[in-house]
Amino acid sequence: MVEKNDPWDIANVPGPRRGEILTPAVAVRAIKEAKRPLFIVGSIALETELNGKSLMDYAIEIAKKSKMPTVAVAHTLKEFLEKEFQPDASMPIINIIDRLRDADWKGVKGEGQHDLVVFLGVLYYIGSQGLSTLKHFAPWLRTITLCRFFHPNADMSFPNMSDEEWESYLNELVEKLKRG
Amino acid sequence: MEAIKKGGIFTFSDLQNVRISIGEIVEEWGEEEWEPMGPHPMPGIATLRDWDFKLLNRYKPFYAPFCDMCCLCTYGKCDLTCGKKGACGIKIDAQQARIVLITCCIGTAAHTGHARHLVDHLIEKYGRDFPIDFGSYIDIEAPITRTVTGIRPRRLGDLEDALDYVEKEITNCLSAAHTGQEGAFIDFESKNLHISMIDNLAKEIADIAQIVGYDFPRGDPDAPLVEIGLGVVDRSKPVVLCIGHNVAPGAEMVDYIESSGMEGEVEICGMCCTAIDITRYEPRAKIVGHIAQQLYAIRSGIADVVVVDEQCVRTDMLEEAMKVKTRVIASNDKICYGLPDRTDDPAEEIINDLVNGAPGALILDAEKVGEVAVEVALRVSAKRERLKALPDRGELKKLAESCVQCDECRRACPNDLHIPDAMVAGAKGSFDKLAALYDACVGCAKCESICRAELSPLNMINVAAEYKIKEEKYKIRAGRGPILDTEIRNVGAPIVFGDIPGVIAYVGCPNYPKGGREVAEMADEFAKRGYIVVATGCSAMDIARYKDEEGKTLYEKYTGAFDRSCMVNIGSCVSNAHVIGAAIKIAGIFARRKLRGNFEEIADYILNRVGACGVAWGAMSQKAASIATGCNRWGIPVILGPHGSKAYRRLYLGRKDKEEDWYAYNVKVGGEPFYFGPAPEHLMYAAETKEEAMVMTAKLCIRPSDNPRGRLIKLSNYIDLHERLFGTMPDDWHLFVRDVSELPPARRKELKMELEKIGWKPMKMPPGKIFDPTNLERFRNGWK
Repeated sequence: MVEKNDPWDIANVPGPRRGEILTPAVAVRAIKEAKRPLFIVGSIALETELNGKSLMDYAIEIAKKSKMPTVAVAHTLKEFLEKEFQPDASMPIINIIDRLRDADWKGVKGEGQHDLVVFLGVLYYIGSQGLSTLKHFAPWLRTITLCRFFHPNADMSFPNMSDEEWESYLNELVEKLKRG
Repeated sequence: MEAIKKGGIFTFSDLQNVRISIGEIVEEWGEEEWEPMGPHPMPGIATLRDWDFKLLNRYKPFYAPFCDMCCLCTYGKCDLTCGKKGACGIKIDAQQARIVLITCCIGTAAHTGHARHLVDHLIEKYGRDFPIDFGSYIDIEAPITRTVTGIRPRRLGDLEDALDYVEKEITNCLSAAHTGQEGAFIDFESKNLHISMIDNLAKEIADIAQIVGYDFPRGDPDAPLVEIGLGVVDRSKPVVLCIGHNVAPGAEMVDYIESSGMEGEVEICGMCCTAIDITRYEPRAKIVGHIAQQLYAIRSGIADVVVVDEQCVRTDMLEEAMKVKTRVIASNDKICYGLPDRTDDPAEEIINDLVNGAPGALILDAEKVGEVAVEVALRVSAKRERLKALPDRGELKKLAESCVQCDECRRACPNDLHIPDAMVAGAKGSFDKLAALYDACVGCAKCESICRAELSPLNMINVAAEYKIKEEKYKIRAGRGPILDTEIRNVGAPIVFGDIPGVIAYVGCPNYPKGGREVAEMADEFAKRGYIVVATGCSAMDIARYKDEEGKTLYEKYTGAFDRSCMVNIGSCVSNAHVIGAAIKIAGIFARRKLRGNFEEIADYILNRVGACGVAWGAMSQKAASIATGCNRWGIPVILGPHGSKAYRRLYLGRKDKEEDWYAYNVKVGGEPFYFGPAPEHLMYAAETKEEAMVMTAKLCIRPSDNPRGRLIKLSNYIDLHERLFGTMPDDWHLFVRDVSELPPARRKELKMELEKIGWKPMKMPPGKIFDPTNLERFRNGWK
């Protein structure tokens, strides 16, 4: 069936350069090694449950354990607030990508431009386009995605997988973040 | 030799052996009588470059490459990833802008080809002198044509002059995309803005021609309600289905039926904008749907004859029609499908051939198409009864059982519809999940092209949702065309000062992320809030497919007059010109600005004063790209749905955090540039969700010229929507407050304290002065 590193959107073949497959362990290492990582959570997180657990809950756990500044994109802010989690920023996915491509932007916390961005739950095709922008116009930035679909425009992406495998990947990621 | 004026006297004497050749007679209509010529009549490819650069310096192009390569010449393919140059020296940003230029040129050419065909056809029918008369409520009949070309068209023949200019500009702009021509992304973008403004002009020409030529409604707020939906077709009658955008053959069918005394005996229906325009001609005609429903309609066998004209017709229409023995007539040279050209054959001969089994014919004569289509439908209807290219409902379970769960249908689906899950349920005899997919299906059938088990998920959805499809019976107001000058007089001041919080236009195609219902929900919300809501094309259709708790569609619920809390169907794709036209008319009628050849001043006026915002939630085609980009050059921002981030690959984004970007001149104050705040924040923007789009729509209606009361109203809507949909106040609301009097009264105290906490200061304005913004330096000390 579908290969682990095929673009999930079957015709989304951008060019010769394709991202690498990401494992939870490598994701944790990338987050920890980054000086100023950023976590972006999109609208699919509002609609997704894995074995009864909302993807929003995973997002909050990841944000808390990793201590990454978190940006709520689309209208995810409301759900974050209802779950008593205050993201560091709320803005459209297009706006945050626009800022991330600007070398002079000072970042969500005003501490300097980010060097790693982590995507979770952004609508696949708009996320893919945002990753393409960053691939071409933000060479200082590494991009990784934690979604269940492979993103060729990311530097590293979780592979295509079933919901069960994805749940296991996210649990492993959260566990490794907890361990520090 | 100088042109000889019509009615002028000239005398020759003592001439021998002189041959006099008279070319075109140039008639002088006393153009000076209506307005002096402005600085930029018929601007060329670089004439308005300064204006474009002003826009592009504030709203910087944002590229999201859809493809990392260039495949346009034999040096390639060239990989442009991460700073690599192509063989010709081009970089990825310029390449993206170049592809957008090609896209916008295609869109403009499509509208222009349409306009040229209509103008030629109607001149052939009525002559060049056929008057352009919009009646006593419309004096400015062609605001875009007047502003861009300096021509005030009084007869059909005058439109030819404007079209000559349009065609020249398409040639110039498209040539700039050739290898080794333009190389800077910023200049590609200037050309994109230029050709898309030309697209607006072409659309206006097309709609003016068909309004006067076919006597469509001329801005009638009470245009009749007509039937729309897949369920409205009376299948007990012969059915002709017109698909595309050119009304000529459909109008001829209506005339043929009337002249033959067959009213009520044949169903004349349409899909896409042709449908909208036929109902502007004959309100008893019916609108079946748009491009997303073409396969649903054809495969269900409803049409005895399909007549295709131009644009947005499935390219496999002939193949699909043959499956259900529907005869196809291609009526326009842009779509020939390899069919034999029968244009010069006697109608009866063509009719006989089609009745006896010929799958289709190319007939490039609208009048003949009218007769042939109706007669063939009458004669084949009984034989075709109940033909369809769909499985029986009883077969669904077995079909679902053969699904191999490879996920490829889902991966091919533009909306990632969970087709494999629906197949699992179907294999257990439950078809609710399949039926539910219908609401968000864009009808592309990529799912069946890719299926390893040779299933057609689209057909299975069609059958599972049959009970819903049959009940699709709604009402839409026929496209009314332009906005009346009298309406502009009523709403001009409230729009410019902000008492009416905005004009929102839902336009464009049906490539929606979650179905058309979202468009209707957004439109309803803003109409309820007192915005002026207008719609065209597919969006106008989808707004009709939604009923309130009383069972009324939004066209029945709200007024069709261009006023606060309205729901106006302007018309087809080409009628989009009237949305921009309304903004121009505000400048011309309310503010008494001169329009003639005066693009830059009018666009500056609209950008700073007219709180209009386009929403192309399902933008798909190249035409949608040029429509939206054209709006941008006039200073009207456009919000795209998430699919708009893909093939269009370019947005124009402002940065509200960069204060230096938001200065303009305040004319009444004079002196140095003045900070007006980030409004409108973006020119072209793509939203991820409906909720995000709604909040952004309210924000993008804010304008520097709002008076305090107007700003209060706009700000209240923005804050209220953000609180409802995002759960809290927006983090940028303070950027739009110039004075505490603009804060919502009920919360003024609380919000004032918030402002004090962040060190906010009111904008300083000399006593008695108002906000009078311009981005044009020549007006910094006063309007001249």
